[in-house]
Amino acid sequence: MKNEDNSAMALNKKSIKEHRAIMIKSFLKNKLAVAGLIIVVVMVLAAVLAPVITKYDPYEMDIQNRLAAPGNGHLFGTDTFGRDVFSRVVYGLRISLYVGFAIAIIAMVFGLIIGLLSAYFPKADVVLMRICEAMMSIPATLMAIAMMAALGAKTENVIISLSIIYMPTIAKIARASALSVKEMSYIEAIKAQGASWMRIIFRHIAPNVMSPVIVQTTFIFASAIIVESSLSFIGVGVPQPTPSLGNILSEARSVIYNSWWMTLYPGIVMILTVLGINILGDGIRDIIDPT
Amino acid sequence: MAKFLGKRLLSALVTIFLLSIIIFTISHMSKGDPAQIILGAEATEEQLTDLRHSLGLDRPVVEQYINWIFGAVRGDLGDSYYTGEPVLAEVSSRLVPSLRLAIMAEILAVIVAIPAGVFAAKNKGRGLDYILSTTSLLGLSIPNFLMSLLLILVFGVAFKALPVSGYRTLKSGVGVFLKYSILPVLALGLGQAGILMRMTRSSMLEVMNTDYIKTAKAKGAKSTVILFKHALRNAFIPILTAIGQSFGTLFAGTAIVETIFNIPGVGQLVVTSITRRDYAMIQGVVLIISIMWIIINLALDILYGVVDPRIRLAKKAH
Repeated sequence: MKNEDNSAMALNKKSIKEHRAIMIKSFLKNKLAVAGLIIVVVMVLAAVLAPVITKYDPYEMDIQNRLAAPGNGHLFGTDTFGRDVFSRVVYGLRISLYVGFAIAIIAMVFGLIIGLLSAYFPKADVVLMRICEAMMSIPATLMAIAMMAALGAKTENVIISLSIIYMPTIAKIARASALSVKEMSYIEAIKAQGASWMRIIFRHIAPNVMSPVIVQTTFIFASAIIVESSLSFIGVGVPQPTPSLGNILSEARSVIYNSWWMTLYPGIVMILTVLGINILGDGIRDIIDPT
Repeated sequence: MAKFLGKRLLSALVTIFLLSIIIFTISHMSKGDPAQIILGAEATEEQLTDLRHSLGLDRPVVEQYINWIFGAVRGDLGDSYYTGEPVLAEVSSRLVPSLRLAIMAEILAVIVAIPAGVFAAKNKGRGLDYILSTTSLLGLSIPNFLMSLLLILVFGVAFKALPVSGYRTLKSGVGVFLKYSILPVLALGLGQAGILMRMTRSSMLEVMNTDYIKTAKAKGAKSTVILFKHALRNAFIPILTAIGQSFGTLFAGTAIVETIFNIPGVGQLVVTSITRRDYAMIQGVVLIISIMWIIINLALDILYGVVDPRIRLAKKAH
């Protein structure tokens, strides 16, 4: 009996491996998705290796050398305080990716829990989904502005408020697919065996709703970077002197007539990053849900 | 039909009620004391206590909420902490520039996105589809503020072709009005076009797989007739929904675009209210815009129910 169990598991593992190989293959065939992956990997590497690839301290001011055009060792020029724009962009990217990633993960975990509980307990469902709908009927950026105005401009507050704002999106998606999984006969079988609801929800339903949730999480990652930078741009996000793509561009706005480099380079990095994540998300979706 | 209408209305009212609680909670998370903000740092303790009392801030939170919401129903959203003027009056005086901007951006988005989406769907998997789809993804990967800055950099700084700040009404002439509108409308509309184009493409693809499109093709109808007459018509409901949904994002986007281009709308009001710590104003604007958004979507929802019995019946069965 035990042997049979083992061989069944081995078979299962083998088929999972094969399935994975097929998915990776079909991903690699999608040239656009691979390009997205490469962009994201390059951006993440740049952010992680920030201290290695930058020559200047992003906080070090050099007033005599303020607003210097690109060249002379400053690849992207310098800003109004004479700080190296390249260093600030790389460190800003680091903050923006970190904030976006933290938001995506927190929203995913809590959204998943809310969605699963809603799908499993019809009584909780009525209340939870109503609240989710109400939250989603406030435009995201506007709600973020209101929350940040109340909480104060701080990196942690950006993470907290945007995580809360994106939770309902994940919850709704997780709930929708959990509702169909819940009706399947294997769940009935597990229930009949007397498994606890915790076990059923998190061990047996959760893994089967992950695909749409992961796809949505990548889009939230991209969207969170956009909203965070918008908040930082109007001064209620990541506060100066900590660099973030949004507050670098906010500074750039006041000198846009003379110092184009302060807008153009951070702008290109920002666009490439978000575009890369979106393309990657599209690619992942095409594999998981090829319609 | 009456039952369908009643249900939709009731659910919108419940949403508005919950939303008001959420907005009230958010603005009460702030640690700032409104009385202190209104009176400034030099106020005496006595003045502060008096003001707190007259604003009702010394009451229990639940009572404060009830007062606020009953006021709101009567059209009284309180007074601005900064100017002392009624919030509702201030917001409504600034609604026109914002609505004008949002509607023009939406029109631009529709004009660009629907043909692009239709042609992308028609050429699915070919070069044109890749180009259009990637361009639309690019559009929605650029935040409004960055799109504004890039447009300013190109048309304002490099070519000096268009004004980059200010607001003109039609009174100053159509030419001037358009000149001042182009950049803000592009800044807000292009990203919107990206979202709409993706939506159009996917709902067109869904429709093109149906039997009646195959029949139309088989009987030899011209492909443009099939695309625009048969397919687009049936793909239109999800597209309309996307347009309705997108108004929320659009209103939120005006906050950024109006600030950059110095347009005296509601969005700019929100952003200036942040530095003034005018929470009464922020709370009021968020409530008004959210309710407007709910009403737009409710109206669309009812409209579909009227024109398309399938929706009415499906919702009833649900």
